[in-house]
Amino acid sequence: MLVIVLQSGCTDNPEIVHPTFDNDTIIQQSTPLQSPFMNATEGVYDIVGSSVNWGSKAVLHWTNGVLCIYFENSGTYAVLKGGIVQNTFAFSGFWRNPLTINTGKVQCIIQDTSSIMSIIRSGNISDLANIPLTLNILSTAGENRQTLTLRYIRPSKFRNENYFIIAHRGGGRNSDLLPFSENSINLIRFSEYIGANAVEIDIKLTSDGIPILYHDTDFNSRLIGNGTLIGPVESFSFTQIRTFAKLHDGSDIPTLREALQFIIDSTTLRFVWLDIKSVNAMRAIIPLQKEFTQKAKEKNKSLFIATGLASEEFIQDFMTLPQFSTIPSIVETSVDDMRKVNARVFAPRWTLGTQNELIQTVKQEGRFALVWTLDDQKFIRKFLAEGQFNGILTNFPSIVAYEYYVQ
Amino acid sequence: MAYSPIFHPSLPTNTMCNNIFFIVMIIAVCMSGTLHAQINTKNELMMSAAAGISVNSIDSDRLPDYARRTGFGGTLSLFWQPEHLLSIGFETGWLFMNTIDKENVMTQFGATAVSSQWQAIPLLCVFGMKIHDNVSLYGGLGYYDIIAVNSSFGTKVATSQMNAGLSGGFDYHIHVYNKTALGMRLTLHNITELQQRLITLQFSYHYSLLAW
Repeated sequence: MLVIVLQSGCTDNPEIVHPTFDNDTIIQQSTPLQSPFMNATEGVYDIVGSSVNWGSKAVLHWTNGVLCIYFENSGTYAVLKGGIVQNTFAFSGFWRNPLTINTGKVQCIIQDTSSIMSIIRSGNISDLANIPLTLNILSTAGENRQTLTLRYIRPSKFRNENYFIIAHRGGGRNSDLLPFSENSINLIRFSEYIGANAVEIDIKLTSDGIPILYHDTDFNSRLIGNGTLIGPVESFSFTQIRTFAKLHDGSDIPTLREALQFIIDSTTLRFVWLDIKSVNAMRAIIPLQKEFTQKAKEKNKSLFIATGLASEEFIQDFMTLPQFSTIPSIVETSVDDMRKVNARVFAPRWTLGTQNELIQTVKQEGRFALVWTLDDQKFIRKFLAEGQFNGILTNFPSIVAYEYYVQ
Repeated sequence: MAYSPIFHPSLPTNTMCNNIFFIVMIIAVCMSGTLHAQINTKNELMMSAAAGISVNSIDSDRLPDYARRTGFGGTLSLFWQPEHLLSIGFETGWLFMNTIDKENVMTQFGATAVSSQWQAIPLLCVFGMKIHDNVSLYGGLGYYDIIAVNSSFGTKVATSQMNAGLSGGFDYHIHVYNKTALGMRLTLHNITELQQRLITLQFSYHYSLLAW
């Protein structure tokens, strides 16, 4: 009893203070770079010298004009914005080890811009190895901690292949202490910067039939930062939810419509996995799935939206829908169920192993195979090296991104 | 591309070991065992009723400024006092958590009157220990049934949810008759699952139902 009281009295939530950039001159004053520079500098880099916390290699990747670096160790990533500032290339942002609470600022300034530009103009990209990239690793408060030197080795090997790095819950869980709440619009945007090219989002239905992004059965303190709602999500109308509940990052709980519209308009994400959290939500979700698949086509955007069928109950309900076999779906249960509903995707849990023979059969039938939810770097490496899957669902997209691009 | 959201302040996380109250209680209970080691000579079934105020001490950023945090707090407990110091029992009651009542709140759907009331019904297994003739320490462990009524845009929704929690406090009382005592009680209820804390200050009434 005493131990329980003592443990309860001391909350064990880890603390993380994300850096802020209110007065950052690089972010505020830089002019954006042109795509030839970004295309040329993407690739695998050696980390020169001592790099205990970072590993021996890093992958440099541009997403929507943002410089994203994925390090070998523990999925540590850096997200930087910048461009040209007074005849130098300058970038400023933050780094984070997603498995710990370690984070801080990072800056990169390249004075020798003319050499880089002449290499890019000449097309001999491998000559970039002669121009080391220096990262100043800072604390959250901006104090200098370490200097890392990156040296270009080669382009990312599988840059253009159709492999899905799928961010769980729109980018990660609240327990991962990301800067934004799980299943929020801001996190969906952020998921691209930490390596995802696809997202899995959780869908619940309001009492008036509007699908919203929310994971749990109830409104609770894990997901709701402030507000006065408690009890089952399905008890409340959309207006009540918008009036009374905010996510931990202060944003509204998004509707599925808002999320899909945002993904089409503002991201380069290529796949959305709709994880339905209650059977009664299915009939409200399918029309939106069709509508936004069509909208993506009209915008000439490659976006695959599929409904997840996680159990027999969902499969049975799905099969009562008209023309269910034409609706893109993801079956998690078995290959037999996959064939029964003509699912485009088979998605077994990772603990079942690589199942190469089975996955080969699935792919020969013209379907995709995805594995969930894989977070351990050792197994991610194994599944990428030995598995036949078309993608990995993960809470740590930066680990998958590093392991995938560095192969 | 809007970039600024990348550089967003951190999510609020409550990390401080801030329930010093519980730690003091534990130390006091531990000390009391040695200071007042004594053996009761009888079994007793005690009923305690307490009524007073309940104050929600949750962090200020979790509720709007205009929320009312103070209201009625009443509890009813039944204790079995065996032939040693530690008594055991059950506690329930009705604890105010917070209310919000505001007209003309602007939302994205227009202005509306907003109202919200939260109450808690504790369902606790409680332990008590007499450390002095007039002072008892007690702690509880169990669930709080949180009852919430929210209304906006003319629609009212009532929901309830069970949340794990615990309580700790002390009671100062004076014996007024053979079977009766009156006193004051201070309790901290920590509804851990919901991250809500209530402090109750109550008048207490104790009655010995049975002794053998």
